[in-house]
Amino acid sequence: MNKAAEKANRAFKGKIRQALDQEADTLDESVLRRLQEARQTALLQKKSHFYLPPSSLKWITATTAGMALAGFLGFVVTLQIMPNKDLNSTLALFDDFEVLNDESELDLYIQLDFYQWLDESLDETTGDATL
Amino acid sequence: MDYYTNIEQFLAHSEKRAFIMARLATCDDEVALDIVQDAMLKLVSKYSNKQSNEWPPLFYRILQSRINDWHRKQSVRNRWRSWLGHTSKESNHDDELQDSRLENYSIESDIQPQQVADDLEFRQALQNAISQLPVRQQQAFLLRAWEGYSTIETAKIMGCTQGSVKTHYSRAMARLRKELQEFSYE
Repeated sequence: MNKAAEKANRAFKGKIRQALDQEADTLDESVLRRLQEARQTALLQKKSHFYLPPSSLKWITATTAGMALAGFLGFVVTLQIMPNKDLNSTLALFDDFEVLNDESELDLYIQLDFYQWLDESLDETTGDATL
Repeated sequence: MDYYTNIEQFLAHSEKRAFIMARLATCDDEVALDIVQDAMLKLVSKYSNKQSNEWPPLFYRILQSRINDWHRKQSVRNRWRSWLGHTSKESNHDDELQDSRLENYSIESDIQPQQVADDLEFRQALQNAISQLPVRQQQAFLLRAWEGYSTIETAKIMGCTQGSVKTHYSRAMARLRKELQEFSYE
């Protein structure tokens, strides 16, 4: 490489280096603050010995959301393809689960069923009279 | 070679440059910040007990590795997006960025406005040109030309041979010279 080309090459690299340095020196305040926070987080993490990096948190969130969505879609598809009879029994099963998970006494549900039945039978017998 | 008394001092000195490198590679401030934070976390948790002169190459190695990971994930995402017919959002973010930089720079410096505008134009063109380079060429170029690492050190950081570094670097230089030929370097 001749001297002129070498000089031009040096000038080119010098200008690039200067431009990149200027870029680093004129970063936005918000970016500088975020970088400082990131540094402090990294240093604190060393003291606390446990830290999930942002990428891991995002991954965990995405996985959880994905699994929830898959479960929901699976449920919807099951409802769609299941015959009506099976569907009713499935829905009844969900009701049973709800009852079992509820903290209220089982007697309350039995009584509720009774009052519901009583209401319906009274409506049927007095229906004509009330109209 | 700079000497650092503790790892915080090293990170404070390197974080801006690392951010610029990550931003050039990803063209996204948020992603660049995440990458730099990940690199800091890894350096502090795994290598803070190393000699301080080992921190810079280790840090840049981690950073480049994170950038490569991001590019790999991004190529998979892009494949899915193209399959789903999703188009990337175009915005006037670059123009807004340019305006805000021009404003900040004019306030902070005593240089003539024309000089400021020329510098900013060159910086913008340079960043666009670097962003267009393949990621390995970007890395070789920034580590050699900006950070001042030797070919051997760059090869260690990039995890490749010296021959590869030379090839990436010379290709990057040739491409940048071509892209930036309208600017003078005197």
